[in-house]
Amino acid sequence: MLHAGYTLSEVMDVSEVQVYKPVLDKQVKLVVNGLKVYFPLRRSFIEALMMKPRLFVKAVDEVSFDVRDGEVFALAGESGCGKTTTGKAVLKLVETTAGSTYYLPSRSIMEDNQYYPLYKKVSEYGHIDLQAVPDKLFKPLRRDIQMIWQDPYGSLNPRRTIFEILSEALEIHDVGATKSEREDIVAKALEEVKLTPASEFMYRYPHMLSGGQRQRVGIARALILKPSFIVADEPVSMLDVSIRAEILQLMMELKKLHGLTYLFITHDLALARYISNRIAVMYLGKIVELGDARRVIENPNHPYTKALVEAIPEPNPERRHVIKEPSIKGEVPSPINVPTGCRFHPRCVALDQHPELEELCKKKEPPLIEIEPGRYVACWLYTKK
Amino acid sequence: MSEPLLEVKNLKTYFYTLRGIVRAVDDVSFELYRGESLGLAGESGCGKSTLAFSLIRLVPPPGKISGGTVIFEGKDVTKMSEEEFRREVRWRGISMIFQGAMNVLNPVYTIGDQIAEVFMVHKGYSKREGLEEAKKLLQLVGIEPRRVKSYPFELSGGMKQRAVIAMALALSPPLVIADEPTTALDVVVQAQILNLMKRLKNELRTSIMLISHDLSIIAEVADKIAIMYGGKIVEYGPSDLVYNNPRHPYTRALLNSIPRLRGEIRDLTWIPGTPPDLIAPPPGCRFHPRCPHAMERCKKEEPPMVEVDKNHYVACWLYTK
Amino acid sequence: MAASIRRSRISRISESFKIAISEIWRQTPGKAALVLFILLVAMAVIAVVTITPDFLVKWESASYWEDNPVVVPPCWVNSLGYKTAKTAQIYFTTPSSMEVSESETRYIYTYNYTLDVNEAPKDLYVKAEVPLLCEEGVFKAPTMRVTVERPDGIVVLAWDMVIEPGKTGENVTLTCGSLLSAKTSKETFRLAEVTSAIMDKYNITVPPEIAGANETYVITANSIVRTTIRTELENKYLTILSVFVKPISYKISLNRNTTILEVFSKQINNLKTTFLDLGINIVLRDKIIEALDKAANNITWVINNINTVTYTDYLIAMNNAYENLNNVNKLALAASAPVDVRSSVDDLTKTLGKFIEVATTTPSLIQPEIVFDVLQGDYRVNVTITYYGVKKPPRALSAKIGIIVKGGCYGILGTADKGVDIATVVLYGTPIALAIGFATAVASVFIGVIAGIISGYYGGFIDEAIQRTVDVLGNIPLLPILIIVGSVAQRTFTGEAKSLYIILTYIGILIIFGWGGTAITVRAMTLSIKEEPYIEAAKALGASNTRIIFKHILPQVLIYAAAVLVFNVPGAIITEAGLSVLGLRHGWPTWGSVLSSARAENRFDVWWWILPPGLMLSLTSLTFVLLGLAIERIVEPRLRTL
Repeated sequence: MLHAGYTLSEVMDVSEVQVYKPVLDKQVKLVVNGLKVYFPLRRSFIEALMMKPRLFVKAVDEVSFDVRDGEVFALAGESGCGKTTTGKAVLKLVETTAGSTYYLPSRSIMEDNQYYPLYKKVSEYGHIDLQAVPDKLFKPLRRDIQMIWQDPYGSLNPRRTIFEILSEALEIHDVGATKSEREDIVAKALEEVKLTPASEFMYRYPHMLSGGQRQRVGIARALILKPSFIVADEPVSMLDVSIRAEILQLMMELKKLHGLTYLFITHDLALARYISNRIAVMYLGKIVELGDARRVIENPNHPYTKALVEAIPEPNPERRHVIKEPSIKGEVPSPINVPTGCRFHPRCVALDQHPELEELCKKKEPPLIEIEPGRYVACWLYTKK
Repeated sequence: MSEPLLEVKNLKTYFYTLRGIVRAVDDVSFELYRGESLGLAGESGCGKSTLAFSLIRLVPPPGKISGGTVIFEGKDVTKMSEEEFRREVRWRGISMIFQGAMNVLNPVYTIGDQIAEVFMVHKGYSKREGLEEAKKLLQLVGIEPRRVKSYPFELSGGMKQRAVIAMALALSPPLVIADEPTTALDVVVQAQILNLMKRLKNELRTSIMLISHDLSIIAEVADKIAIMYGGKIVEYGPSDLVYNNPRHPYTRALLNSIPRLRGEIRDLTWIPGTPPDLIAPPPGCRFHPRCPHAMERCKKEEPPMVEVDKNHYVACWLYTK
Repeated sequence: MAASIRRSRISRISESFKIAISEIWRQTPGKAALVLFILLVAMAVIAVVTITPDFLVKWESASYWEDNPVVVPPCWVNSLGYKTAKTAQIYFTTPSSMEVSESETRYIYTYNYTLDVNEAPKDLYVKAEVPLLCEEGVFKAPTMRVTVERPDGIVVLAWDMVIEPGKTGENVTLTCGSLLSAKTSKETFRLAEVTSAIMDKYNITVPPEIAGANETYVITANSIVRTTIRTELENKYLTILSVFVKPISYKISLNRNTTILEVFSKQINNLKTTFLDLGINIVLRDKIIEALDKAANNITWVINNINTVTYTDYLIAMNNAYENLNNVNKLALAASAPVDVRSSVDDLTKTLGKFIEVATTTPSLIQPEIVFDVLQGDYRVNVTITYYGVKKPPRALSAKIGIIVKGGCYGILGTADKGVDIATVVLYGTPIALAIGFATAVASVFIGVIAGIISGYYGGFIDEAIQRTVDVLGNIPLLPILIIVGSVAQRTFTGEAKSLYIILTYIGILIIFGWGGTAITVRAMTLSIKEEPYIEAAKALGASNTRIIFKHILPQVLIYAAAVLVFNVPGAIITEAGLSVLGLRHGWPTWGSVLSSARAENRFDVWWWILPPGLMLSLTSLTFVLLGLAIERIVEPRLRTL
């Protein structure tokens, strides 16, 4: 994990620190280990001739975390940090460059699905290696892992009726033999997301619905196949503030009702504090801090998390008298040209205060280290003896 | 306190469409003094952007200002000819930062050229003089003056937004309207932009009219706040009073629906239903279908604006006898 | 519970179709387009329903149109002031009347024709197809008699002919009831009788003061007049049209020019001088001189009386002179005059003889000037078919008699060369044009859509391949290829379906070179749709590529494709027309072929030949362009809000 020249033990007292390693046990629904998603940039003809090395957009650069069964795990960060790409990688909507994702399917998949025995198992509990599943065999798993999309306007085909949009999921997986059977299933799904009476909504087109109603349809679509794991990609960020809580409330109720697990992707830390159990804060493709949501946000350890939390405005009119620049320097670098060592170091205000760490921060990438039980930070500041 | 810088009285801006008349701004009144900043809060479809466009007289057809007056620096600008308004008021008196402003920059010209153009067109400066002024403005907004030669694609999102703010400030207008100026910006960059606005308020005494759906960023800048709903202002007053003691049920619900970063975690509330159709709004108080305190009267009569505290006004039957 | 609101697919498609039509109608170009389109389709349907299968083959042969006047304008020009004789094509299947007598049965067909303009019709003939009636195995050929009762009272016997069985060279076995056909012609027209009738009626004779007293010479003079009339009628009125003319003025005069007479006189005097100098027998010489003197006197007499001499007297005098000269000839021979002198005399005699002959056979001495003009009024044509020796003639004769008067106008749009009815060809050209247009447009758009979607969705090598192919095809010049292929096709294809093959070849080339544009645009659309969030959402649900293409991408592309299809229709039609005009004909009656025959005949002045097909081409293009514009306007805003 470390580059040549330094070993972990030289840097810190090994017995004192525990590097984060996700564990596969019965409670763990999803494990992401060392995930890398690099997008290659197209080279021009000349560059190919000159055999210049290919450049990559390192969207996700070695990310590891675990999601426990029944929890809401927030993946938070600014735009471009890789959180959405991570979510899509779990669903195998983007190609993974390296790393693995292990997933524990729902009971019904383990017991009833004919493909389940074919998947490679990586634990005694039945976790399967998602990346190892060939594309053709992956389809049945899509009933178990689903996604709620950010854009309620773009994620529904404007030329299809609500019924057709929801029924598509059923058709793809051969659920419901006749049209009237499917109508019943769709009606129930609409009722579950409180779009009642279902008959009024079934044959409308998306543009006839409000943003909030459309997002409910998105939720219904995600749930209609009865999954056990949902990746929610900024599900309320494009909705009016006054209706966000309604949608979130709905999501929480459904979670309780169906025993769902959420991977909740968001850039709104206040929202993450409100809704999630644990949080992982990402910066430029890496997790910089991971732990209990409230504690991380109320008491951030990583300099980046700190700066972020400070910069978030609050509806408090006193703040207009205070001009406090956020404690962060410069701007987000390009994910093509990631800084060496700790990728946050060019912007780190804490580094200015601890010049002795400069060499380390510039050369070595800090691992995620446990500083309290359940709390992890990737920062050399916390490895000082 | 002298005369208000901006006095809006019973302003109506309607869109005359084939489906009907969209009453986007329906009898709105407020005033703004020099150096004061006003926040205009509301959700999608409440008419706040239309209100901003009305003040600068850029309402797109089929919309037009259908009633009321806008008195700016003592003159009724709704009665001016387009020619006069363009010469005297637009950009000199009132300038605007549009939503998605970084897309306003022309990709084939440097930002220096684009800022300089403002001076060349409005003040007859030469290109060299214009570029000099551009450099000064860039400094003011926190961009290195040498970047006057940069093209928009060479700048980050935050820097583009600063460049656009520089353009809005070019003629030192007493009033700058900012319509969702921090959408699509990072939280950190957003904080920097808001700090810039605070500095401009302090150093230049510019009045800023900040339009947003986000009550948090309005709190960072505005001295006064007006809450808009369904084309009307439902609550209006000093920020300190409105935020700490919101009266209108809508304002309350809005404030309660924002998750807080600090402090106790309370249950968030939401407002059931959907915003009103501005062609055929509900009779009486436009909020009544979604209001937990709706009374019979609310369904029939529109509540007037009444003062409930010093300069704090509410339009709600709960506060009128 | 939800079943009550179910709507079938078909009702939804027809619903959206209705909405589409009403949206198109709402716009002005849409209104015009729909009206024109319905008109075109109506024309095409009428054409397809009324066309006979042999039309496609026969329409280029002159015999198909033989009853039409050639290159005449449409008849409605009469109401605009351009007066022409009307064209009548009357076909009888039942006789107007029937007359039975002992030995003959006559079937009479009558037609009234009014000539109300100052221009004679262009032709008049009768066609007959009559059955052979026989009695106990014996038959005699029937006869046909055509008379015309003119408004001036003359009843002209135009034709009287036997309806011969069989044609020349044919060995026809005759059976009772088999059909015999006959047609009147210029050659069988009884011009002599018509001439006589006219001369009688209008009293065209040589006045006695011109003719003289001698009966023979009077007859000669009149026959010269007759010949003149006949020549005039043959030349100016195509023989047959003499039926429609009358003389409006005539003048018969005697040629009172004395030039040639004086020449004769002089020559006689020369001879006299010659002979006087000759050393021949005096007695004979005196007789010669005497004869010469007499001849000279004859001629001098005519010269002196030239202003009052009659034809008779003139010729008598010339004849006398001739006699006298003949005598001189004999006497000269007897006197053994030198050969050259004798031949001079001979020459002069012959010349004089020639002069007399000419004077008695041609309008040189007698100069008739007859001016004819059209006789306006009501005419009645009677065609009588007579059977001989039929005891029990049928009441209803299954014969077809056609009376054709070719006027100066015809039909709705006039005629082209060979009498081709332009209205008919333009009408029948409509479904062909629409078929060509649609076939090309549908096929090229179909291929374009498939190629575009595959290219845009799958990318990679196939995308490159398709794009390069389109590039290459786009850079090959289409017109030279069409011309080359067209010429080759014209030579290689044979047989009945030759025209069809040629047209299919054109369509094929147009399709090959036409799908590229659509493909590139569809590719762009596919690329942009592919990036939409709902496509990714479908993938997350497990949708296969096929499903995404057919259910999400194709419906949107099809709407655009509809607009493109409509725009492409006129292109093929005009290309085919252009190729026809350039000379690459295929043989079917398209609008282009009408234009090309105008060009081939170099008739650019005939507006009714050129305008109708040209107008049809323009209108058709206009229809589809307007339709395409209307569809585009509906489609565009929806595309943007995607």
